[in-house]
Amino acid sequence: MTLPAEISPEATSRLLPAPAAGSTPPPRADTRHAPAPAGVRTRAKHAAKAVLKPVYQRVMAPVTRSVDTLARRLEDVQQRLDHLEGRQAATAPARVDRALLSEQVQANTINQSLLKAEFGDVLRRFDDLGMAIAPATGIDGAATRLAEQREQLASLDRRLRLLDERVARLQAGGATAAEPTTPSTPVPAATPARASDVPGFDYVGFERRFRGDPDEVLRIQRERYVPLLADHGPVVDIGCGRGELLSALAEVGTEGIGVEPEPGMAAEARARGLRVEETDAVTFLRQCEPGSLGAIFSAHVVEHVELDYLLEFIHLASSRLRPGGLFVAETPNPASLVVLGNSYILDPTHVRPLHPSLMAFLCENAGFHDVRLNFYSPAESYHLPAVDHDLGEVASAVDSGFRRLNDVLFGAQEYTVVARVGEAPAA
Amino acid sequence: MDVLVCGAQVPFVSGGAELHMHNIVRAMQEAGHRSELVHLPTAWEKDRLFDAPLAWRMLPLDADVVVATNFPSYFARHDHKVVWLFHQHRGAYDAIDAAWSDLGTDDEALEVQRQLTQWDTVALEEARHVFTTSHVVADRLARYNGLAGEALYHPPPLADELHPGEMGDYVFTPTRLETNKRPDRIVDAMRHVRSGVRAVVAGRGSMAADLAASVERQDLGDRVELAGFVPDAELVDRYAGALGVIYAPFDEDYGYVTLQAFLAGKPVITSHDAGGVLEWVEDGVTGYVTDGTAEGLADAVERLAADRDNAAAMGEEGRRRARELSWQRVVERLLSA
Amino acid sequence: MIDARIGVAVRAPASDALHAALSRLAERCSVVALSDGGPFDAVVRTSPAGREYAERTVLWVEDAADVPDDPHAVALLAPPAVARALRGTVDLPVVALGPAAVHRRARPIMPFTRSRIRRARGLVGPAVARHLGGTWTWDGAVLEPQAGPTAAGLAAVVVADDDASAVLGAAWSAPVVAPRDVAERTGLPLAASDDPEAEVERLLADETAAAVLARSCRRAFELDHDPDAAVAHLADILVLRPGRPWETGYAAPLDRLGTPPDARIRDRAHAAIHVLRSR
Repeated sequence: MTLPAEISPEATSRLLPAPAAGSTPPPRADTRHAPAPAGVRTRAKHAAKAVLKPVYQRVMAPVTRSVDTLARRLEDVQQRLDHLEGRQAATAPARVDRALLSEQVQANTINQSLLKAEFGDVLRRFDDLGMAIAPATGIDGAATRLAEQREQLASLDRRLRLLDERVARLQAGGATAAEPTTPSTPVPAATPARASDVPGFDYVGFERRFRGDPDEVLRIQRERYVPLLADHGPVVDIGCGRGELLSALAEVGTEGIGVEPEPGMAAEARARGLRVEETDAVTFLRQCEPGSLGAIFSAHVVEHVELDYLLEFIHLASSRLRPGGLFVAETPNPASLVVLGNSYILDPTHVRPLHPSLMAFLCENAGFHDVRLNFYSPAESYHLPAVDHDLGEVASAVDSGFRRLNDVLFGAQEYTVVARVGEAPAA
Repeated sequence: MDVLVCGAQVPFVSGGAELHMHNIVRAMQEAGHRSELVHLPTAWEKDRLFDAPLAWRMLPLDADVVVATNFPSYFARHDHKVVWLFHQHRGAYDAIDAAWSDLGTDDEALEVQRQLTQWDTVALEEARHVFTTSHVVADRLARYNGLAGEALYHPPPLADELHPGEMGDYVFTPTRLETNKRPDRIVDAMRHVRSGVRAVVAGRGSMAADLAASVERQDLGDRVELAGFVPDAELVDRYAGALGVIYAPFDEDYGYVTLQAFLAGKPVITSHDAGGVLEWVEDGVTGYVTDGTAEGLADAVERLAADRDNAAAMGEEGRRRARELSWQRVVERLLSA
Repeated sequence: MIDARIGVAVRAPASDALHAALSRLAERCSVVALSDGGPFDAVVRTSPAGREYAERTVLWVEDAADVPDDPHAVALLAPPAVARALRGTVDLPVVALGPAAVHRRARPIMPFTRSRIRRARGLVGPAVARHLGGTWTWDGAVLEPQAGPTAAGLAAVVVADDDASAVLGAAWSAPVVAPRDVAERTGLPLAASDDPEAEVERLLADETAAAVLARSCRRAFELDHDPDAAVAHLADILVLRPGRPWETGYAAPLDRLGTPPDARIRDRAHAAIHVLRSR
């Protein structure tokens, strides 16, 4: 054992530029000191020491050497210990973080439980409210329900106005005793007529409830089709509704014509400054000049018409489009079984499901040059989960099986056929 | 309460310190407590210096209070530890340059001294309170360890037996015949005493032979009596019949002889470097403080002889002060810290 | 390292000071979350205890004016400045933790020992070390920066002008003379006068005053700047007896006395216990 390194002679020599006088033995004569010569015993001790000292020194040398070796080894061990402790110390903040984190997680779990308890109560009341407003769908449907109720009111309002007009015309001596128009289906189905006191199918209301958020639908439509149709004016939008898509096209400088049989919506579209023909698709196309149109667009129209009408529609499209013109029709994809079993059959006015291959075939037969199919909106919320292949062969088999099921059952819910007229006019 | 008194033991040697420890135990018992002495052997050579302190550290001391007295017993660990410090290991402090200290100025010895200082400080700071036997000890504690101690005086041995008597024709010195007690100065002083006052030096020690030789050499046989070992009863009588007491050791911690002299109503002649003795001897009031030389001591003896009444008065004042000491007060103070 | 398992029951995000203190603890013993389950030797909390493990609570206090009242607390844990403010005013023991360990190799050297070492090394002169404006001087002569610890360890008086040099001096148990603001920040004792040179003269002339100051400085270092000492103090408060001597030897009590790693007493203690150790 010895003084620390900072007090060693080498370190101490730094305190003075020139070392002071060498190791003079410390002065024994100090002021407050033990007096009187030593006694007999002490003298004897000194004498003995003098004799023994050389013997002692001879023996000490090897002993000192081994002590030194041991000391060095001890230092090694000490260093390794320090290193270990250092490593242990270095991870200390991480361990503290972990402990604090555990505690916080615990605290959060407790808070969560408390909140859940409070929240559960709130949720229950909310559900009750939802049930009161919209029995079938609960609170989620409440918003749409309220929207459609507003729509119904607006529609009723429109009809009343029209009635007023007609009554006024009649009173003014109007000839046409036209039947009050009802928002009817695009093509009347061949069935026994309804009794007159039974209200017709409220398609507008139906659409409002089940089509989804109208803004979202329009946004998606714009996203998908404005780039496609932008340079193909004039664009005919079959069933243009209030003309949102046409307005969007007009914003990018593409001319458009709307075809909308429903007077109220047609009026609103016109109010946007659009040209709207208040008729059906075939009637309109028949009176168009061949090769005069840039694009014919329809969204969720073709599944509502009978086969003959559809055939004529496609034929007329191919004829009335100029070279390079586009025929674009979006329709539900019955190849995705969830569509067939759920959203397709929901709408009673759907005539027949149109398989994408069928639509492609019809377009090709009508003389379109280049027919493509684009698929959208896979029913991801229904998808079966992916299984990690690393878990083994069974897992891989299950995963690929699930993928196939996903494709078949829950695949793209709608598709668009994009058919292009060739450069040479069709026969 | 159960009180354990702890002290260092030097096997086969029993001196003032051991007596003191036994007295503390007895005082505790007389105050109604259960008390015992815990006594461990100690070695002071630098190679074994730390062995006993560590041993004390590991002892299970089951008691209400532990009173530790000297090095290394104050290393004991206890929630209620009170230190009444007799002395530390003087060979590492004030006596480090003495012949008998084995701590030189080589690096290893310096580190031993440094480490002992640190160990002492840690151990003493643990105590609820540190008392010392005298201011001398407290001053050393402050000077070497930077710690504060409170002087707590206690009665000397034979306090109940000592009594005043006539102012006789001798000065009495009961002491061990060792270098630090300086009995040789008394012998030398008697050479200068003309008034006929004798000196009686009682006690044993390594200087016995040398003193006898010195008396012989200086032809002081009729003036100096080397009484050797004196049993207690005779000690009391010798005190009672003395004119005064010469007690001039070097840097004494406390000095029982002073108090015993006072309790016997005798003034004390001492020297300026006697240490704790000076806390009691007030020059001209309870005795004389001389320069410690043979002539100085002799002169003080002559003054006592010249005015016996004054000597008696000074002795009486000393007695008054010494009688304020009591073991009850000591016990109360130790246990209430 | 002490053999202790300390639980942490701190729910809100921990402040930097608390995180530092817990890190100092974690460097020396085992710190786990309360939710990991007992048994615990102590639990550090920021607010008065709930029902679990209440009897071993160590309460963390960051604001000296706002000490929560917890009947179960056995000690208070606080950053050094707050600990200093609390020590006189509360009944509980106060442990200061926060800053990382500094000067771990420093050993306390009291003035008496210093004078002997200086004699042995042949250093004459008043031996006053000054740290002023970033430079160390010894009796007026400029030193290289690495000589700082040597000066701090051997000087009769250290005059420091900043926190770091004051703490260095205190670590070596030097009598440190520092300006009032430095003393207040570091917890060192305040000087009697504002004139450092007058203080130096006084201390050079009065050995006892120098020794008392040296001890106070080193004690301040042990209380506020030495996490090893603080954690050992906490172990004492929690009455953590040193582990089984037949396994660990005398290492713990020797550490508690401040014994350096290379001290011979360690070998002697090892030798004494060696035969008794189970294999």
